[in-house]
Amino acid sequence: MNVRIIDGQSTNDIQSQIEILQMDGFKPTLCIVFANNVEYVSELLNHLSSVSLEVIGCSTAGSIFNDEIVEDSTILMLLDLPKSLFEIQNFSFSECENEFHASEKIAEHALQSFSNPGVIFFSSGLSRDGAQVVEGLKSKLRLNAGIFGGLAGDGTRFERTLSFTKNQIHEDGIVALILDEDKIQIDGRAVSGWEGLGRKNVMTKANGNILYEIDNKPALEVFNKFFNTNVGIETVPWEYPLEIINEKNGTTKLRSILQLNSEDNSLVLAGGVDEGDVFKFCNPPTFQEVDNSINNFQEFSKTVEDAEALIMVSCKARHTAFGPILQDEIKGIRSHWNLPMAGMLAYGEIGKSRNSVACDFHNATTSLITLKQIEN
Amino acid sequence: MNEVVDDLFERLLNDPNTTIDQSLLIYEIIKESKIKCSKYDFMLKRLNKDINVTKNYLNASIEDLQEANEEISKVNNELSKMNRNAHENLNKLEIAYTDLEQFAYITTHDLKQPLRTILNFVGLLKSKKGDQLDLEAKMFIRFILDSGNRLDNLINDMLAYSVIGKSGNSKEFIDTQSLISNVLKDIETQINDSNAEVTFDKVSEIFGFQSDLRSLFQNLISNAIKYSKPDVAPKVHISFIENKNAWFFSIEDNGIGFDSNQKEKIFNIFQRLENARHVSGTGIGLAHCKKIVELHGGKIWAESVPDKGSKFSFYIPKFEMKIMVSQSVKNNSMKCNISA
Repeated sequence: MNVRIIDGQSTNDIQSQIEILQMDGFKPTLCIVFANNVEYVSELLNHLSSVSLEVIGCSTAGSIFNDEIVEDSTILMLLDLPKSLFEIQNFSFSECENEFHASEKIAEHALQSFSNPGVIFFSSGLSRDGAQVVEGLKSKLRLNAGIFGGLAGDGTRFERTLSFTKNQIHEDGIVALILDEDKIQIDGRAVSGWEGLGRKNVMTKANGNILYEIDNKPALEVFNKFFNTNVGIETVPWEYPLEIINEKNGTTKLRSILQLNSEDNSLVLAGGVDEGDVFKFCNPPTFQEVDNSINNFQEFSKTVEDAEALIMVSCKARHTAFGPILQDEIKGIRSHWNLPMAGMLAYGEIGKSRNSVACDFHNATTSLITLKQIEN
Repeated sequence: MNEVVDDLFERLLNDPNTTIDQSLLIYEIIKESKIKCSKYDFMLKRLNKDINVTKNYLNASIEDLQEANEEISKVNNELSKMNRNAHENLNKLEIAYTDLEQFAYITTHDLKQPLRTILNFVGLLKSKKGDQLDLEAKMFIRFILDSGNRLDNLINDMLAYSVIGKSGNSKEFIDTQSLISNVLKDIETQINDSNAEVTFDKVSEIFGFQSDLRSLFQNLISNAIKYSKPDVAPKVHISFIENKNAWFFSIEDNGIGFDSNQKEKIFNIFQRLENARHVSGTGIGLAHCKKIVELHGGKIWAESVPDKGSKFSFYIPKFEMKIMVSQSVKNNSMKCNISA
């Protein structure tokens, strides 16, 4: 499998870069697009379609081009995978009952195409519950199936997130790249670093990814009291996610706060929660955690030394928390392979934690996906 | 900071002794330093924000704790007040209860003597002057004797009820097997007259007040025979099980039974079954049983299906026995230690 990465500023720019690659003898079949600037997405998709590329992609809150975080750019990962090894599916959520049902349908399609499918998906990132999408896929696929991807971003605007294929652009939908895991090895690791702070709180009223009440008080009121903040998009505290604690087994998962809603005093989270969930507020990690994360990926790199492509989905919260240091993390992680890497800053990440068999929905993590075509 | 570095860099560049290679090297060093500075600047600002958030979070948590503490203090004060009131009420209740018990005992005891006198004289009137009385007067005498005897039974039952647990005896280990056999001998006439068949499981020793427990079994077995169906020989079975915490007994019969909505009411004093008005009784027996079981820290209850029979069950906890046994073991071990 050959892989090339393009950083383009316009359709013409991208078009000419693809032509140069083709002249060099590279014949891509699949294009994964991370668009930080969505103004020319439609035009770009028309072009990609005209050169017989299958396309999957989404809007981002910042794109990753090898070691760099780039803004106002469109990053393309081009792969020359045989078309028999992959398939692209997409659904508008409005066609389905809910996120779970939509991803169940994707899993059903995947199982019709391949005996052991893996899925990389990009879904709307504002009002949809990524956790339910993952659960829908897990309900049909085998336990250790590769399930990776992320929730589309929109910078810090929170207005409009897109996911797309070559023929379809969704504002409220899901696109999925289904891969034959018997022929393509998909693996990955997700690393966080956040730790809970202070006392435990209980989510006393919640529905999906909307948290209405904390300890029987309006969630926003409690939040404002603790963080002494004013309601407004500019004050969304990405870097202070909620750490949900599973009191039975002691494991934790993070939920970033996407929006503060003063109309119903709720917090919109970047993933589903359940009433009765116990959580702590969090403080973001420091320099040390970036080093720990790089070391964690070094350990992982030893298990997939011969990977051929890297896709990174890192949380926008990490960018807010680490600022320019996030670039060091990205660079440090990529240095373990020195391969072409494309990716994005997302509103939610899907990946596999250390020691986990199954993939899960995460927030505030860096999730790396490795791809490798298995020789016959 | 950046301005100072820029200024220094400019001076070095303008210095005629600085070579191009040196300038490039200095430029690279300064560029790298600026990047590092910007990273540290960012982290410093963020850590500053973290500290503010943490400080605010701590303050808010302390406020919450103070509010919770105030709330707890208020509740504690309320509880102390309620506790004082409850204590005072309990004292009053204890005094009232003791007064009531004494009143019941004295009343019943003092009523008994004049009643006996009335009954004795009416008896004498009947035996010595009976042949001089007309039929109407004889009928009146019979009514007086019947009512007087009923009142005498009632006073006896009330007296027995009021002295439950007041025998002055201590709890002891009781051979329940013999206790039930003795009860059956006491009510032999009732058993024979009604053709009743009474059976019971093998029972172990229990710990309690001998005379009260005897009265409990007598009441329950006697009731089971008394409330039988006409023309059906009563069958009564006493079953027994025990676990590590309690002894459980059930007295089951094939009698007239009662409606299940009466199962609580029947244990109240002077309550009688609606379908058993024809059976003589004072309405104290089951209240008597309840008081005895509760005296032992247990519970009694009843189940029944009208016309099929009834089952009265109770348990007596082993708690006090365990304390006594453990104390006795402790004492013995102490003795052993001393003798050793």
